[in-house]
Amino acid sequence: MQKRRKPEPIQLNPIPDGNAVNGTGASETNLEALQKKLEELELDEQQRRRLEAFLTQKQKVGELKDDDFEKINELGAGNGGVVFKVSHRPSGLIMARKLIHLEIKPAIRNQIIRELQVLHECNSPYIVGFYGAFYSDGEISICMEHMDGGSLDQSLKKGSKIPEQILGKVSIAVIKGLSYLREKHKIMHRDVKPSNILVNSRCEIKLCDFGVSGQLIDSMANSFVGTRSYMSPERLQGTHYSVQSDIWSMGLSLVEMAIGRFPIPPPDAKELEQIFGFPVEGEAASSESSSKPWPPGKPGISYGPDSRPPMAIFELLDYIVNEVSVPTTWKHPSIMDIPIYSCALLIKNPAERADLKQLMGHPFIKQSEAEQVDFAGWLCSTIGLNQPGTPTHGTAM
Amino acid sequence: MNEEMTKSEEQHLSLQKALQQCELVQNMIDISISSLEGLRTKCATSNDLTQKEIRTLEGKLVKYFSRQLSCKCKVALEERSAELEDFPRLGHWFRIVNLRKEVTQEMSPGEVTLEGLLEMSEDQVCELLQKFGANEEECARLNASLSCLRKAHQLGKGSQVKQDWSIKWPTSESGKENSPVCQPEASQWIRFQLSQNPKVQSKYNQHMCHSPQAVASPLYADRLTVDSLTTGLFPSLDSGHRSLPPSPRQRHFGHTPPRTPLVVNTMTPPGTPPMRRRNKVKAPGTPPPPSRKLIHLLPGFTALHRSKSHEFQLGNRLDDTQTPKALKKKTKPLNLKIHSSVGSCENLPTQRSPLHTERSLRSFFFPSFIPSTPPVHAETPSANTLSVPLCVFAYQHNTLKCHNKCTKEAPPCHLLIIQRARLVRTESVPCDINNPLRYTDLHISQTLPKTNKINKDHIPVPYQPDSSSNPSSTTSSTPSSPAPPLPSSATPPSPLHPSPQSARQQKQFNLTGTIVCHIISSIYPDVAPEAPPSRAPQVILHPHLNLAFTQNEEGNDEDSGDEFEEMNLSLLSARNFPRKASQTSIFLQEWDIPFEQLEIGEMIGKGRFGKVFHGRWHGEVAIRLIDIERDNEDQLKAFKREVMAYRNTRHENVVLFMGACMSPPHLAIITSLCKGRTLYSVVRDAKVVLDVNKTRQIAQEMVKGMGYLHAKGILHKDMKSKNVFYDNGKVVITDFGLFTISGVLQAGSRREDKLRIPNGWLCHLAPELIQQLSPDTEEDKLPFSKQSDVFAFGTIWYELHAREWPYKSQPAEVIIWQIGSGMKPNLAQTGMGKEISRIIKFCWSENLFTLNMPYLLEKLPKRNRRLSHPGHFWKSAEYVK
Repeated sequence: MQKRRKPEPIQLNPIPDGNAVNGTGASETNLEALQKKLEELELDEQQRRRLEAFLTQKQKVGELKDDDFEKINELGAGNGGVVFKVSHRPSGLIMARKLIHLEIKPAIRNQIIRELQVLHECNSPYIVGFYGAFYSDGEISICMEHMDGGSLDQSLKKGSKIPEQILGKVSIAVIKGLSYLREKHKIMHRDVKPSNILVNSRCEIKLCDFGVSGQLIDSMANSFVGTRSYMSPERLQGTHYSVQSDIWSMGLSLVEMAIGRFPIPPPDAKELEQIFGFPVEGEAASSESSSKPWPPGKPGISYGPDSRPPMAIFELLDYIVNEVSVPTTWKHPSIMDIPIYSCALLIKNPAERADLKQLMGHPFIKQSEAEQVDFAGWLCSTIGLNQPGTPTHGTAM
Repeated sequence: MNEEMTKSEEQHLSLQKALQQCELVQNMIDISISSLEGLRTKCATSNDLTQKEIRTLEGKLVKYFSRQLSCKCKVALEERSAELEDFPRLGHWFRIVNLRKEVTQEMSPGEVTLEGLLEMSEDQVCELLQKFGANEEECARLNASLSCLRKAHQLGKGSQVKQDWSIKWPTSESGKENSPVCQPEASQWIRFQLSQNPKVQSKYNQHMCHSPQAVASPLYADRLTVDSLTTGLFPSLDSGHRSLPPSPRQRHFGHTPPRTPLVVNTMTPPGTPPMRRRNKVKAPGTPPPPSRKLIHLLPGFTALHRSKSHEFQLGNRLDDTQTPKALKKKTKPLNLKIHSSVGSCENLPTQRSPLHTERSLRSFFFPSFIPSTPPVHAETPSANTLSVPLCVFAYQHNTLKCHNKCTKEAPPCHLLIIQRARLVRTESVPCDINNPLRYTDLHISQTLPKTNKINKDHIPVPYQPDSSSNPSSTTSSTPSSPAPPLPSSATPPSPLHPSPQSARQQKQFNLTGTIVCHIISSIYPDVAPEAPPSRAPQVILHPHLNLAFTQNEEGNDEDSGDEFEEMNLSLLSARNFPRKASQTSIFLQEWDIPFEQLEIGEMIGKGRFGKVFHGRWHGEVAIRLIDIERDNEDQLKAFKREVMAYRNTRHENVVLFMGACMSPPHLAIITSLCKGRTLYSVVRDAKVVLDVNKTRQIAQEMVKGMGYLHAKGILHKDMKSKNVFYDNGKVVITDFGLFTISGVLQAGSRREDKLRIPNGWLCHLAPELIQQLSPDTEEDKLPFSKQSDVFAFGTIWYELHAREWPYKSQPAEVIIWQIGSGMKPNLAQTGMGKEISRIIKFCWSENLFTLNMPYLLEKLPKRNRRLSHPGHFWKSAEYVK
């Protein structure tokens, strides 16, 4: 009954949708076609199994309805919506349900739901799984895979800096996730930031909240802008932008996570010393447990020792557009690989900025790929999660 | 508020009652202070009428404060609530005294209280203040004011004797001690004149007091000085009539045209004009502000004389402003006669330059007149103070002479604007009349070009940061009522009716009652060279000032009534001529609608600040229920403030304010019900054809409405198509001024460290606003201005043609950066015509001088300019084509 954007949607289940928006067209799920798709993704065995398991589970879900959900707790408030951890009673699955309040006409609403269907096709180990979207009672619901580790933004708040080994893994996931979106779906993320990178205790790192529905963005009654902006200079300036813009955002996010605060305005010498304190030593393995002078909790708000007044939003943006790229000014010896590598990401001219391919070949990434990191251990200690029973050691991303 | 509060009553004031009283009085204080500040900065303070008015206001303020003190005293110390302790407000007192912000900001709240100050000795006060960085002059001023308040408070307790409590500012003149009450302390406030060191001067001045004119400091000699006639003694008779004594250098008699029996002098000689009945004498003149940036000052005011003819007399004197030498110069005062009635003035174009004012007036009245004094700035750049002619209308039989027609049709409009020297344009829509500069605009002139070519239409207004070192004949020299150091002058918000027909209406006066018309010129800071020639100073019949010298043959007693009342009438509602006491319970109560009386129907809209309902209250109305956080006193106050501002808005393009519910939790604003639908939806309705003619007309109506609001001193602050109703050609603007209380950015709707940005809001924000946004932005801290309203209008104009907001679908950050850094959307892409984009560019430009509604109105529809009736426009526009 409705036109799909893509002629051959990989559709595991009839489109869940409370309000007859759409299509049950793909009721005969083409598992084989899907599997073929998955094969193209160069997944390792574990990833493949997990993905298949997810898709199989998803098949059981059927049409999503408001009534079927049971709220467990709130996970957080994102741009324009609130996310709840919910239980989907019919299937017994735990999901994350994002509710976006929209007062819009049915036509618009249907369009949004339609646009969101693209998410069904986004199956990648680096992208948060999507169960479906529906409208009910003034609100658009987007149901996603629940990531028990929350966002890196939350980890950042709880544990100040994120150790660079972890960041190595994060970088890999983000790069691969962005590549996937670009290569398989020709879309860019548009909103890479720590709060849109989710992690779980299975050592998965995934992207969420990428802009698939323009209509949804247009329909939002409010947007929220704060003291942190990850938008690239070229985008702010209104010039043409591409996936390179996502790379900027990733770079800024990585720097933020590395130093434990949003890097703009850049920390002064004194603060840098505090951040990287007692240089060189111990950065390698155990920084997650080292005591930080940085007060936990509010990157971006607290401006540390340099008690400069907080920047106005415009000031911040103008800094991004007009001032030197942040990390290049940091010549401190203790700044390890991450920021240096981030330099490549934070070059103002998008053409000079490293692209996804180059990044994959970057020594830091190469090294990190080979590394064994106790990701789950870090996560659990940071956010106070109980280690799941499943063996998760030896993460190989 | 009634004066007749008896002692016994007072004693029984409960906390509640005391609080109420204090709040009530506070309202009046608020108003008086803003009027006072207006007068100090916007009007020519050298004018003795203005001076008197200032004095009166100061006196009243002293009284109000003392009343608050009394109220407070009635409540036992331990019973006082924090709210009550809030009164009297020191900050307000400082505004009266005009302490610099830098000083007051130093004080942390609660650190100093007015009562505390009152109990201190002068030296202690000085010491304390100096800690906060006050200079001696400020200390002296504060002390002077405190001593007056002290007296008032002490005496006020026992009796309600009507007394003049005007503050005796430290002064360079003598003869200030004309108030018996304050006299004993005269020495305290007098000692600061002429010198930086109060102590040294003290004696000298004390001495001076008794021979007021004996010594004139060279510093002040060339200023206009208004001295008390009677040296040092202030007769307490009510019938006493006083004229302000002329300063030594002002004693030039106006040239009296032989024909007229009347004499209007630029300076009144010591004689007392017979007509002045009221005992309104104040200590001579409000002294110049500490750092005066006023560019123009009235040279001196004349007493009124009864006219036997139907002519207005204008005293007009060109003052030589540059040097003390001017003292010796023979300045030839002009005595001007206006032969026509008031009506003839109405279409004089407005203009901004003070000098121009003078000239245009002159050329208006005496086209062939060649000034005996060359334009000041021509001689020396430092001569910044320009004089502005002050016109006094003589009146006859209590009534201004007007066209019969005018008198008949007179709307309650008290202002007469002389706009332009050229009388050519009789139909042009008035511009700046409706748009006197407001306080908030004054910063503009700080960036005024210092040198401008002198030409007929653009007279430079040299910027004078501190005139105290630049003696000028027009600067009033008498004890300074401290005025904020504002650069330029402007008229207080004018109650003028700015409807499209206003050109016609300007000639109309409501002459009910007795009037003394006082023309003051409000000078706009001179504009950048490209400024339109039409900016003319406003010459306004100033309604406030009538009290000071009303000649009221029938009702002597009337105005001896409650002074509050007078204040209310004259200041609160500039439109109201003094009325009888019985009518005076204005203020908020008059506009308060009991919530129970409202019949609330279905919801018809949702605004930022709450929901809008269809309802009934004596007919169909729109009810805006305001959501404000409970217990948020500030918001409540802001709400009341806004309500105060709306009371008198009557314009066909502005939604009719009918009243408000003002007792929490029920807060609502009741307006007439707007027909039609919002421009927002009209614009997005593909079925509606919006050709240029239509959009132009819509824009015109909007501009008229906004120009009116601006003239009323109301900034819209949230101009957007959703706040404009369109119904079959009629355009009505709603929701003006509510933004401040909208809570858009308030903590409640804020998330963590993020600023909530409503969709479509940013593209209406002028760069200076957008640059300020931060997660802790508060609505009322944003620097809204008329210019920012114009910017928002530009966005609507864009929207009218593009049928969509600019920056549609762009993330907030992108809009913030682009607007903030002055980028404009590419208009070429939208396919708009040149003329259309020209207006957009204009509205979005950063030329703050020209960004105002009247100018915009001129810019808008070129073809329409000659037509006074917008209704005719379409037809004629077609013809023109």
